[in-house]
Amino acid sequence: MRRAALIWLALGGAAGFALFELKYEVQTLEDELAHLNRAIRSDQEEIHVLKAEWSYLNRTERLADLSRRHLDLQPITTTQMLTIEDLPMRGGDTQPQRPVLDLKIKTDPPAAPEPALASAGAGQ
Amino acid sequence: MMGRRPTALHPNPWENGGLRLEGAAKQAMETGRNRLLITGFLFAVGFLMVGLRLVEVSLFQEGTESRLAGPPPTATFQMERGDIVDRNGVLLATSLATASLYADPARVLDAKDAARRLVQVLPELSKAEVLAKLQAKRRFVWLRRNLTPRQQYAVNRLGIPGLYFRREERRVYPHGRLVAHLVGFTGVDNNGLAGIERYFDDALRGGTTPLTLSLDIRIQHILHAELSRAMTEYEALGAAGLVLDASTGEVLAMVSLPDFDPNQPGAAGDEARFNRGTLGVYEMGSTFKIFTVAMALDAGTATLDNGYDATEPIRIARFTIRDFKPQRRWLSVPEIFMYSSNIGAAKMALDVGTTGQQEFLERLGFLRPARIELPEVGTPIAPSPWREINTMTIAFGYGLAISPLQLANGTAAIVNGGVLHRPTLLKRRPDEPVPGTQVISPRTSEKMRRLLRLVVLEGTGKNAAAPGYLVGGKTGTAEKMGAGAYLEKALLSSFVGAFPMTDPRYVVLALLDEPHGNERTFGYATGGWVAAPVVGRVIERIAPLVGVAPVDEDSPELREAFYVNLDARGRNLASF
Repeated sequence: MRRAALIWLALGGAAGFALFELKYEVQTLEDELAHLNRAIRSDQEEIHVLKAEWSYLNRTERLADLSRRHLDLQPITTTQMLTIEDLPMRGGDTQPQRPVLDLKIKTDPPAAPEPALASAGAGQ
Repeated sequence: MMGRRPTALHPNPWENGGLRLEGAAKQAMETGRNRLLITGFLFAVGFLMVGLRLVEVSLFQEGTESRLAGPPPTATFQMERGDIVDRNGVLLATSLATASLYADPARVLDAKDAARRLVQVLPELSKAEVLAKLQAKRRFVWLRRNLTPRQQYAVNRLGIPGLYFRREERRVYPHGRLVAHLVGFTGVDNNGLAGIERYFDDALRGGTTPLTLSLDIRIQHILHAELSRAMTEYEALGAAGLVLDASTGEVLAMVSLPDFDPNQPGAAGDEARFNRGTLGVYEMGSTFKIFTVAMALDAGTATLDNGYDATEPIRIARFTIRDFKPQRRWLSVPEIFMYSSNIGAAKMALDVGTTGQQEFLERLGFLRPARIELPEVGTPIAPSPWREINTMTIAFGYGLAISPLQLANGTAAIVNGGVLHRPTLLKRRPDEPVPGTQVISPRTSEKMRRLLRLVVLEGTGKNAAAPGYLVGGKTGTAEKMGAGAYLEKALLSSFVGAFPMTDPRYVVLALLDEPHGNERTFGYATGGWVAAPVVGRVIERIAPLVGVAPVDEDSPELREAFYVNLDARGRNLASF
């Protein structure tokens, strides 16, 4: 009888202590979580502001101005473009392939095709 | 007890009184017991209530009472208004948190001193106004919205009681005036007032995912730069431009000049805020011949092999229809298009008839406002009643006013195989089919591509040629209506083009309002001289961006593909 009471008392005490400990542990973890969440939010907000700033700094007029001042680049012209097939083969094949894109702008207008020939072509 | 009954010498003090007192004591005991019972009962009830309440609170009411500290902050960050981005994800509009200053006048101790010191820190405020606000009989007055962090610090340092800050959001447009007319702007309470901001106001409120537009900021920049340059060079009043995806109807760029800074919309005048691309409706002039010729070819009343006599101007009622550069001879249909003959176009439209023309323009959507995701959409001005003279003038672009967006969209339908799409400012998903209606046959569309290419190769649009990209298009020069008559010197010059003409992917439109010719254009301010070069340069610059490879325009296959027999008279005469 006395022993049983003691055991119960000890169990009750242990449970109480464990509960106490657990509660404080949970509270600490909750505080930590709230703190982390706050930090994440504030980081996200900072990223948001930085994104806006990034977009602002990437204004096309500003980039155009910077590139004009600091880079020696010009807009691409059609004569600077080739396809992979136009590139000469490396090594053995010494015969470079004929460039498909021969885009020299001719000064004189191209001669008009013969009417007879052309009407056959356009007749469909 | 009786046995111990003592003698009289030892009288028991309780003996006699005992009997007497017994009744009273018993009664007292009774009373005490009753009182204890009642008290105990009351206590029991009390404890029971506490116990029940405890059970109720701990088991059944968990969470209903708010915790003083509020719910723990979650990790998701969200602004009140969603972002707007372009098709590549470049931020066009976003919200930033700012502090706004307000006062509770009842708590301001010395309003005069507070106003004096506040104006020192925020010089843009008026002292009298601040004082009036601080002496108001209200509990809340705004003093200044959206302070910078530095201003907030300065106000804080004054330490004036009764002044508070409220966290607010402010709309920011990093690209400023570049997309002003499309994105629009918001008011001080972040409600959309114009453009996309207004059209999608509800969706943007509390929107978590950004709204993706069909715009490409790089193309927008190129169009804006080239149009601005032309506007300055030709001293034009205004300009409008469009780049449209011919196969989906997506608007890749739309510029209206003059423009404004959406970060300070209040500073802009009405003229600057006016979107010429969608809200403005104009009589377009010769660019309309695209639709006249397409209509005639599709109806079968004209073919590429016949033509009309354009020797004499047409006199009808009190009007005379004449050509800008009269050829004074019979012209084949390709020649009418190439030389932009008003006489020929008018005759061509007459052959189709008024009802046919009305029905065709209705199909292209030119007789009702364009459907696009903007609140600023102009209603076309069509003649009523629609007489024969209207049919003739509309054939070369007078008498029906439409918006530049409608012109570009109609042109897209003519060149893309004949399918009219609804223009859109939202990015289409690549996997979803694009709805559209067939307005002309693919065969007519193919013929129109040849004719448009012809204009750039041999006709009025030579200045739009961007070598390698197979540009085709049509010039337009319209005299503006003023005080009941057309003004010869006030022109609306435009060019609408598409590239590459083998399989057109993009339609480009440039329009200048009242340009003035200079030495470089030999004094001309027509579409071919001022607007066509803009389109040519825009195409040259955007083609590499959109992945259109240049081709050899002089190759025999391409020359044959675009060959048009101009002089079909012989065959025509023979058939007469």
